[in-house]
Order: sequence, then structure tokens, then C-alpha cells
Amino acid sequence: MPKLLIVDDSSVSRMMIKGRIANLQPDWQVVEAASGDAALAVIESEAPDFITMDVNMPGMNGFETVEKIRLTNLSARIVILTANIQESSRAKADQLAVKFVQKPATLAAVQLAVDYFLAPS
Amino acid sequence: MKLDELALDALTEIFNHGVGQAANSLSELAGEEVRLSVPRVEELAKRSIVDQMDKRGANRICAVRQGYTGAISTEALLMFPFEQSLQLVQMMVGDDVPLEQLSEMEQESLAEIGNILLNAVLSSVADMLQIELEGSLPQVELGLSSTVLCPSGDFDSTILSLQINFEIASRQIQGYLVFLLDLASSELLEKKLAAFIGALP
Repeated sequence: MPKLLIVDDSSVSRMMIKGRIANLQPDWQVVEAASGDAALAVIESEAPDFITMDVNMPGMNGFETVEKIRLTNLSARIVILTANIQESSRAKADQLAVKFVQKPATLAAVQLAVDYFLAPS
Repeated sequence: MKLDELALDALTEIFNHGVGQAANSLSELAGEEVRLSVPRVEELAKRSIVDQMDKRGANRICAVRQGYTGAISTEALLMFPFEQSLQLVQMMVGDDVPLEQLSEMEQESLAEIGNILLNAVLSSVADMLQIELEGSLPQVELGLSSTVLCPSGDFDSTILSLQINFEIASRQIQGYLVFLLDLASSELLEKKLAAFIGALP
């Protein structure tokens, strides 16, 4: 069963993403983390296949967290799901070779993330 | 800072574009059209904004505050009349969540709505002025408009204010976006506006 990690400091945002995933991919297992540090711990224990990552979080931001993840985990597919839609943010996502999706986490936005997760490599 | 008419017009247009992006995000959340007023960009005393809010009957408000730093420093405030906050939360999380659970999620939901809307505006402004802005985490505040807008009582300090009113008709939600630009950033803002105007065809 595919496992998705949702990283977002907002519990409401996590709830929205989780709800969309339950709708789109009901058989996926979902785990959550509320910070970059928590995400690193969950990745070690749960080894998710897919990750949605917020950017603006207390402590490590989403981009810094992705950089740390990539030191040990090259396989998990990552989508940056953020309200910070500046060109500079999109450029950072490109540099990190991860997908960029704009909040709000509507069904269409989460569908974009799912499409990326399931696309052939 | 005294921006000339052309610079104020350019700033209004830049914010207008950003607010359009924010309205699009809000519309996606609400599932319906969001009506926007024409943005008003003015240099004025904070007291004037408080007076304007009071005149609209919004003296008790809930607000999401986010600071932005980078090439310019600004504080952005998204404000709603206090009694509309639960409707906003319901819009965010869906109509099937019970009311008692809504109250628990109120602050988090408002913070996330503010995060999405304020970032949409500021991201657009940053891109159009070709600068990079870093946002703080959103903070939710509930209280009198005078307390939220002037926490240190500095009613007479002059700021560059951008105000837009928006409305989601079927949910009877009205909100106000206010950007308080730090005048210390004014020189750079003026330069960036001049560059923006100079690059126009």
C-alpha cells in the first residue's frame, strides 16, 4: 500500500490534504508531520513513498527539509505544496528537482500532486 | 515618502494583480465568485484606517498578520468582522464539520486562509517588482481594529496603506486586506517602481 507523508505546520491544511487523498486514493496510507524536524524522524521510521511539503514552517523551512531528506532518501517523490508562489520559490523547487503545486489544497491541487507521484519515472 | 501620481498608480496596478491572484485562491476555497473593490493605495495616518474600519461597522475584527522582509519590509493584515470568522472556517474545512469542532479549528483555519491570501498578493508583488520577500508565520489576532492596527498606540504614524474590500455574496463574508509598508523601505520601493514604470512599453 503506497504511503504518503504530509508535512505542514497547519493542522487544518493537513486535514484538507488528507481528506482529498482519501477521496482520490482511498487505499493510500497517510502519515503526518508538523515540522521539518518531525518529517525527518517520520521518514526514518515510516519510509514514505510520497511527500507533500509546506514551505513556511517554524524551524527548518520546506526547502531546507527537502535538502536534508535528499541526503539519505533519493527515492521518495516530493511535491512542494505552498502558498508562497513567488518565482523564487518555484525556482528553488526546480533546483531541488521536486514538483511545485500552489495552495489552497483544493481537490484539483492535490490531484496534480497525485498525478506527479504516480507518473512513470 | 511622497509617491507621485504615476508611482501610486503603478503600485495600485501591481497590488491589483496580486489581489486578483488572492481572489482566485479564495474563490477556489469558497467554490464561488469573489467580488473585489478597486484597491486604494494611500499614504495616511493609522488613525485614518481605524476610522474607516469603524465606519464600516467593523470595529471588532479578527485579523491575520504576516510580516515580510527582504528588499522591502511590510506588514500585511487580512481582516474580517469578528462575527464572520466561523463562516470562514466552515468555508475552509467543509460544511459537514460540526460547529463545536469548528471553534477548535478557528485559529488554525484563519491562519491558513491568511497565509494563502497574503502570500498570493505578496508573491505577485515580489515577482512584478523583481524582488524576493520572506514571510513570517501568520498570527491570528482578535480584538478592536484600533488595537490590531496600532498595537503600540502609534495612531499618528504615517504608513503606505493599500486597502481592498472583498465579498463572497452567498456566505455574506466581507474582508479587508491592508498592507502597511515600512517607510524605511520607501527609497527602494520608489526605485523599484521607477524601474517597473520604465520597463513599460
